[in-house]
Amino acid sequence: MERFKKNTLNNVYYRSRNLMMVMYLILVTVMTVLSANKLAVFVFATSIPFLFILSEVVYKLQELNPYYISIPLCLVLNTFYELNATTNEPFWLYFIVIIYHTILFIDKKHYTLFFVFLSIVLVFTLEYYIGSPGGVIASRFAATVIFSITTYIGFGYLLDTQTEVFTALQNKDEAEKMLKAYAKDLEKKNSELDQFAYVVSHDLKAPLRGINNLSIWIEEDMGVAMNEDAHNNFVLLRSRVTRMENLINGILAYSRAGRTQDENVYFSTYDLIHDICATLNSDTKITIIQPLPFLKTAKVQMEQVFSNLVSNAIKYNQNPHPEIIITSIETDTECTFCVADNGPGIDSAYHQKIFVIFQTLQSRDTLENTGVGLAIVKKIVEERGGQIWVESKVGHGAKFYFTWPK
Amino acid sequence: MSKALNILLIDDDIVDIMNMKRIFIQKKFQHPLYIAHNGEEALHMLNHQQIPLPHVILLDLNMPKMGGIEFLEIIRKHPVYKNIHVVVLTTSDEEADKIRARQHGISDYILKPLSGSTFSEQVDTLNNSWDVVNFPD
Repeated sequence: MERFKKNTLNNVYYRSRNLMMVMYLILVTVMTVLSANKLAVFVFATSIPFLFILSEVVYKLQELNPYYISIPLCLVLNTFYELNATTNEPFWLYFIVIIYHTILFIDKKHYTLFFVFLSIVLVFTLEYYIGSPGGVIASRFAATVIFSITTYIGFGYLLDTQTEVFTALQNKDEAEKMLKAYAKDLEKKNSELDQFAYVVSHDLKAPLRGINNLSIWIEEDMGVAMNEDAHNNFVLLRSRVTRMENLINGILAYSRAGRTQDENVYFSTYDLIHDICATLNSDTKITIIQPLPFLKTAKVQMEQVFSNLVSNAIKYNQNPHPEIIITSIETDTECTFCVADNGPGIDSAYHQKIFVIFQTLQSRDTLENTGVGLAIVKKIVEERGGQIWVESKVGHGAKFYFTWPK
Repeated sequence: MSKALNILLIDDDIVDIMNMKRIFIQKKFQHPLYIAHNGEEALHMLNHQQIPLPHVILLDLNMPKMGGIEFLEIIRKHPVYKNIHVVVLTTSDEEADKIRARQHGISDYILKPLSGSTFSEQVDTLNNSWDVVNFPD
């Protein structure tokens, strides 16, 4: 962990340094052109990066923050320059030093700039007021002292900020790392699920096919030697094989539902529902009450939801005059659809249970169904960010509602 | 009935092999049916001329040692075997498998159904398609 923190620190530091170097070179060029003593400015300005590199080496050797070393070094060099200066423009140099250090922090906290400009203003002021009485050297000396105090205070804040920034960056890096780990984990789980579905589809179905075929052959080979009871038992055996296959297909369908990355298409939900009702081909009277919205969404998934709900409403409806009414309410963020029937209705005790996979309310022997349909519908709707629920009383039909975010 | 075709069935499931044999008997097909239990065995049989060169290969995908796709990859690179008609017979309903098999130029992709009768109907249509195709000798 320690090593990781240090690497992050180094990375941030070197990344900002590269950008800073470019800006610094531009600045030096401008300063040199503007300045009266071009050579002095140039020599001084170009020496700073070397100092900085030196301080980096020391930083690496002693694991110190480079600013603790580079600032005193700059000041020492500056004082040396002051003593030999013949021109009246030291503030350019201060300015360069300040800018040079500021660029590093410029995007972090803007109060840094405040200290920098405060320093510049102080130097200017001192130069202006104390310039002549104390002599050039004395005023420069005073300026240097005040400048170094202010920058130290400023950099003191800066270093605190810097620590905060680094901590924040570290936390961000750690969070990103964790997020990546989770994503990888999720990817693994998903591929495991795919693998599971694959295994289910192959390896569980093959023996079933064997049982089915063998039972047929036994019957064929026995011919008339097989009595009625045995024959009925074989019929039952094969119906159980079919049921098992349906369950396997159900698991497969459930594991795949909602996971396909279908393209969003623009379509009329009225047309969609109308087409579904036409293909279901039943005597049930189906009324679709307009207006139904136009949506830009995964059409295949919505089709799956409606065809499940509508076919359920037909399948379980024992009313002599079966009827289905489909309505919709649209808001800014989502659409709520309702599929209402006049069937037997569902006791409120089962309103949650019906959405659980493999839960059916009727014996599997009276009606071959796997109990996957509503589970798939719930999975699709919830993966789209919607909700599904049922309102029903025994004997009063059922209303299935679901919301579909736009 | 057109001329007999050599048919090689590659499948590891003995019941599926029995099923195919029964269908051949029921339908009174004259085509000789050769059996291999996986891709490796089939390649060995082909390479050592243990069986005559098949006109049609009925291939399962999920097999031990060498699966169907791997077998397809090998024969499609072979100078002699590359033109053999291959029909995939499998339990796999996976899109990925279908796509991969189609990339290797198969003639048909048949899902093994649960019931024998549906399967024999499918073999019927298969048999008709073989009649249409002209095989080089």
